[in-house]
Amino acid sequence: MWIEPITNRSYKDVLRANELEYKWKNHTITDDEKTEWLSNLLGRYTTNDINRVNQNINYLSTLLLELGYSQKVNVKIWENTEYFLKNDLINFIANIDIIRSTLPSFYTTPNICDDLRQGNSLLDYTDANDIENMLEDKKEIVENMIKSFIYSDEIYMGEF
Amino acid sequence: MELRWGQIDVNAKSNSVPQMSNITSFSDVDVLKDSSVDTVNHANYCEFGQSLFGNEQPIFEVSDEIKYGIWSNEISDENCSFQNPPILDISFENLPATSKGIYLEFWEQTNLYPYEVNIKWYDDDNVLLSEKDFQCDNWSFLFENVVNEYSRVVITFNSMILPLSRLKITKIIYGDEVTLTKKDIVKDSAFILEELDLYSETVSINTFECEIFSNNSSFDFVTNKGNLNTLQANQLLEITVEDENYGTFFVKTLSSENSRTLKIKATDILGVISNSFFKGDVYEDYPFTQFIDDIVYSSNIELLFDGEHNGFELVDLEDYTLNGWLPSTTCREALRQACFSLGLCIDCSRSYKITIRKFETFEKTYITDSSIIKNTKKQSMREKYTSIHLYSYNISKGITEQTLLEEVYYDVGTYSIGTDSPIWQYSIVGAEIISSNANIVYFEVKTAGVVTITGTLYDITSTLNIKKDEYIYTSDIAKTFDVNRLITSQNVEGLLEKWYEYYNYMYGSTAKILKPLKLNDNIVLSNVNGVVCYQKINLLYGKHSDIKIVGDKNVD
Repeated sequence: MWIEPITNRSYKDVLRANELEYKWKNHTITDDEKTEWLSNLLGRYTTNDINRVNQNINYLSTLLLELGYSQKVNVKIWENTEYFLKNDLINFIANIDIIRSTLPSFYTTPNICDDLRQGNSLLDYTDANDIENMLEDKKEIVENMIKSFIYSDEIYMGEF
Repeated sequence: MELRWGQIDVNAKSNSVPQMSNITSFSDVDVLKDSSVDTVNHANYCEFGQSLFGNEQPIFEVSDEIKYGIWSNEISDENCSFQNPPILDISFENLPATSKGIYLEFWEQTNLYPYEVNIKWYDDDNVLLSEKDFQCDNWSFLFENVVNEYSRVVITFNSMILPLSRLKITKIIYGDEVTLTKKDIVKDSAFILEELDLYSETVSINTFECEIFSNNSSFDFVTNKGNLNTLQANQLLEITVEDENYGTFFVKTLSSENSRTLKIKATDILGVISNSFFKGDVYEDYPFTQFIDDIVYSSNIELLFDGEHNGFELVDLEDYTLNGWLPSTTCREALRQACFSLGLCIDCSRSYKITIRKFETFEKTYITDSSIIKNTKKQSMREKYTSIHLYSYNISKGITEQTLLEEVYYDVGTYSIGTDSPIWQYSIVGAEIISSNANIVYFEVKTAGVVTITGTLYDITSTLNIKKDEYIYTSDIAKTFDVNRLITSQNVEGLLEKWYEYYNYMYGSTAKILKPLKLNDNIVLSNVNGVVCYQKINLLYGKHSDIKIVGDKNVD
């Protein structure tokens, strides 16, 4: 199942997340703000974000397999109780790369920074936006491909 | 100006046995026995409290080379509480601990720490001595509670400062740092005395002393309240003046001449190892670096310091080796004899380590007249020697046998005996040798009865070597040195040259200066071009310093 990606993170969101963390630590956080923190706060990158990306990779990978592409992508759904290592980041980006390289891109489809690919840097909010923008583009391309197969099907069946 | 020191139970860490269950596989509870843990900035996406957008930090990875301290498997819930609170249970094996509290460090990189913490202190019968609840407010926190003579401490972490976070502990100290300012210290009472012998004819122990007002500091020795019990023998004192390190010292004596003040006298690390026993041995091309490790092991200081050659810094001495016989002695005397035989200089000043290096490696610096207090410069002639006498020794395996022990042992067990002369071969009847070297043999008596130990001696011959002024017109005044059987035919010539040159430095200068120098500074003072060998620093009042240099007339 495709989960709606998050592609509109901004620096303001990061500042908001930091502000809420400050309030947690100073015991001044309100109940509403606690709820905001525990929901999918845009200024933080957590298990929820990784799992959403992985689930969307899985969605695209399954579609591609059905379309005859042989590359199967194995993704993991993470628990909050686990810890995410450098190799896990490298695998995470490698899976994104598989989807990226299997399908053509729009000229506007963003790239992935090489430092991330090698596990040498953390994501920032623009990287996180780029990854999900890219997956969204790929979804559009796959869905267009599926639609075009249906048209071809109709033509081959010959209704004239 | 500040004087800072740690009020820390220096024995507690090495005696401690920390235990914690339900921790991550890479956690290492024993890091709490180390002086510090490498906590390189690492980020981990999958922890809610660890998302680090906008930071440039290495990604978390498990590596044998990096120690992360202790990470709990348990994660705080959405209200920050632990359903199964992590418990750190520390017992003390040999000596009970006494401290003004427990200082813990958590995860500095993201300022992540526990919030509600309960600590219980027990005596050696497991009777509760004290219990206190704390609310932590920083990644480094002193859980303050003065408890004397506790044998076990149980720390329960009930909640974290953030939800969905795991507890991470990187460091523990049994006590805390104390900062004393000028008002806490009696006028003109805080001094450091530093001394240096260029080629280790003697090894001076640098000292620190000061007198503090009991009512202004964090303890009162009259009423025995506060943290007095944490100020104990061998207590580590770090002396810092205006953020500059003035050395690390260890408490030797505490005394009081009145009811208001307390005198503290402390020595550098050489004072700590001064009386520790060193087995010695007969050495043949024995690496000096290995010898230093033996000193560290024998003086039991490895737990005080981290890193290679704990407590020592060796400057370019990898190729130095020892030859000859070193009898059993104290660690300080062993170090002196070894450094003397190699022409090395031992310096403990302005450092927490003992630096050993060649005198020639010192850098030359200059001081100006404006840094010298007016009318304090004095110059004098030093004692004149016209020749240097130095014995060298040749040691070889002999054939003479000597009965070292013939005695009835009624109890089984492990025993040892030392020898006055070096032995290269032992034979034993009635017991079993466990280990031995040239000076000492350890043996195990398995059945009560007579034990006889016989040793075959090394042969030692000595030769007097003389370096003499050829143009003297008066009677010869010879400089002779203590017996040192690490001087052999291989190193004696070099030593004669060094000492002959040294005693040609005929002049000494003294002065009071405004800002302390470093002991190894090579300076020009009162027309004497020489090396600072002595310095008395008044720490509190202007850092005025009395210095002595040894050298020759400035020929520039």
